[in-house]
Amino acid sequence: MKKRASEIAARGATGLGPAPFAPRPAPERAEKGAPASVPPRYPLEPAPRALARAREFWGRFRVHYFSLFGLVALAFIGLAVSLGPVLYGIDPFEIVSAPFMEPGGGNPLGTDYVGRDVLAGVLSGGRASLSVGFFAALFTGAIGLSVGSLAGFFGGALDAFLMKVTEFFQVLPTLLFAMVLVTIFGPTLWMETLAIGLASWMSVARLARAEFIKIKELDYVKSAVSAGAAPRRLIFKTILPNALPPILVAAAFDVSFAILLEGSLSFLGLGDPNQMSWGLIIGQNKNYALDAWWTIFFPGFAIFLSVLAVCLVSDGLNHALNPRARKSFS
Amino acid sequence: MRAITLVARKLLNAALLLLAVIVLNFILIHMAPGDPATVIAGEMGGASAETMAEIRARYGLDQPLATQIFVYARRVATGDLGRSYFFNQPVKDLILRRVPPTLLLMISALTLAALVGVALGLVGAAWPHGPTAHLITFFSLAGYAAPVFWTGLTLMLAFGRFWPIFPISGMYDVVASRHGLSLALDVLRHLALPCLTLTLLNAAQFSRLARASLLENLSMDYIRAARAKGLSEFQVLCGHALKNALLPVVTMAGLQFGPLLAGAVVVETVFGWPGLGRLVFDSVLRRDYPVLLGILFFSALLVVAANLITDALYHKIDPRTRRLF
Repeated sequence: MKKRASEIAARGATGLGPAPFAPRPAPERAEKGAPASVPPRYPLEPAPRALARAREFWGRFRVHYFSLFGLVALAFIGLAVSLGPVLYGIDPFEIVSAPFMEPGGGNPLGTDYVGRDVLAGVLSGGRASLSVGFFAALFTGAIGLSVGSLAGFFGGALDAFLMKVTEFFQVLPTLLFAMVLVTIFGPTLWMETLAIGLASWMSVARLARAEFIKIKELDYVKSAVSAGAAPRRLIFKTILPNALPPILVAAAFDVSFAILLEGSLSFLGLGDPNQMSWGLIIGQNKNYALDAWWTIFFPGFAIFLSVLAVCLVSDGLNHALNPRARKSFS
Repeated sequence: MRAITLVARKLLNAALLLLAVIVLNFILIHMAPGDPATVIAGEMGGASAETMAEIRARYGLDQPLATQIFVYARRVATGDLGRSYFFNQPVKDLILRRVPPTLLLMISALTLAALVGVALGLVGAAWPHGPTAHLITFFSLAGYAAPVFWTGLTLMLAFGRFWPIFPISGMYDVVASRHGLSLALDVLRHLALPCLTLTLLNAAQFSRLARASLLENLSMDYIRAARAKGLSEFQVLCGHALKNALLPVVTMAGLQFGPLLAGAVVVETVFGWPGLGRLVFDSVLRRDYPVLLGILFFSALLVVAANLITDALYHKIDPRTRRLF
């Protein structure tokens, strides 16, 4: 019995490596005369740990069927958008047939008000919508994390100032602010991305600040402080790794928000006119919605499905990264 | 006394925020590519040399930047948001004329969304597991994920073509009477679809929040006490838990004002509702910067006002916040 217990301790209950609190074998003493290198008291275990973590993450993620569905849908959309235009081979801007052809026949999803193929538009339109969504969320995360972590870590006057700035940006309605920025600085994909990022980083900043303030007070951080760790080390090595999971979830969720915002911008005619995008197709055909439902329905459904998929995946991330978190869709 | 200082501080904070918006507007005008006077006149190419000279004089564009920003801030503070050279009218008048329809749309949608959301939240909290919960979860997710313009156009298709019971565009019927009750009914009929679109968008978030907040309250001791007293589950839910669970909902309603305004921009564009959103859309097309920046300022004003009202309301309904002062 005793042997079995020690065996479990050595292999870990999961069989993936030593259990966190398993007694470790004492480091071998350096022999006399050997070079005076002190072996690390707590051996670092890079590779197996990372693998175990990834497996644990996947184990928690895959039990949520909705999140799995989201992942599959996202993979499907990603494939369709990246390979679809090449395989389908029709230029989304080219007039291929008479306007308002119904779905079926030569054009699987019909044609729009000038006779362009809707399927080609939906396939290549996703590139702009999804990449703007992704990069805008990246930008959002970068600004939010910098502002939030600085405010939370240093506190005091810097915190007060940065939170005032955050409050200021929250007063501006997101879409309206992004619209003004794009109108003034010109409708390019990069400007759209920047505008969306600049208009929506505030919630990440607040979240990052709250996490930093919470973690700053924990004992292990205090011990690092008393050991003389510099602020930079404290921020990047001590606090950030533990503050990151909820922020990652928020950033993933922000991708969905950015996709919606990009859709609205290009629907309103503020997207890059040389780039097909889902919102653009709907915006250009909106006056004929009553006569040609397919020009509205399919691109809109593409946005709907991508946003839904991103939401579900971010929810799964939440379950897998923050097992004890409350906030969740299901 | 402390209450007065608190109110004063809140007001000062609001004023500072608005001042910052003014500065932002100023920076945006100057950062835009091209001469600020051209930016202000709108890039229509139709502005005469006299108009340009007049703009330069009015905005003090020939003076140093530091002076200009003071001139600009003073003008905005006295209610002068500039002039739309497309409409040849002061921006303030243009905006104020468009405010009532937008507020009507926003407030009716917000009220409906809060009511529907709380009702759904109650149902979700009463049966926290099983198909009802899944259905409500799905509804709130779908409500978030569907782009506003898509929902709007789909509703337009459904109620404009397949089952035409509501008008799909505008705010008035051309032939309808413009007086009294018939006018109100006419506007209400036109309001139905835009309002429904905005409600669908927002009810989802309210239902999620209300359900979470109710479930949290239901696990507290005072609920156990209420159940121990022998109250029916309905009384526990609607009489006890609901009152406390509404606090975050009120906060949310206040915070939703900005996003709601953004939603209104899109919805008004879809349904041709003659409000601020429609004005934004038209100004973007015409590059009418004074109107655009004026609306940015005005919407910030609305949001700040909504936040102040939420604070006051919160103070009123939550006795715990009152004890602090």
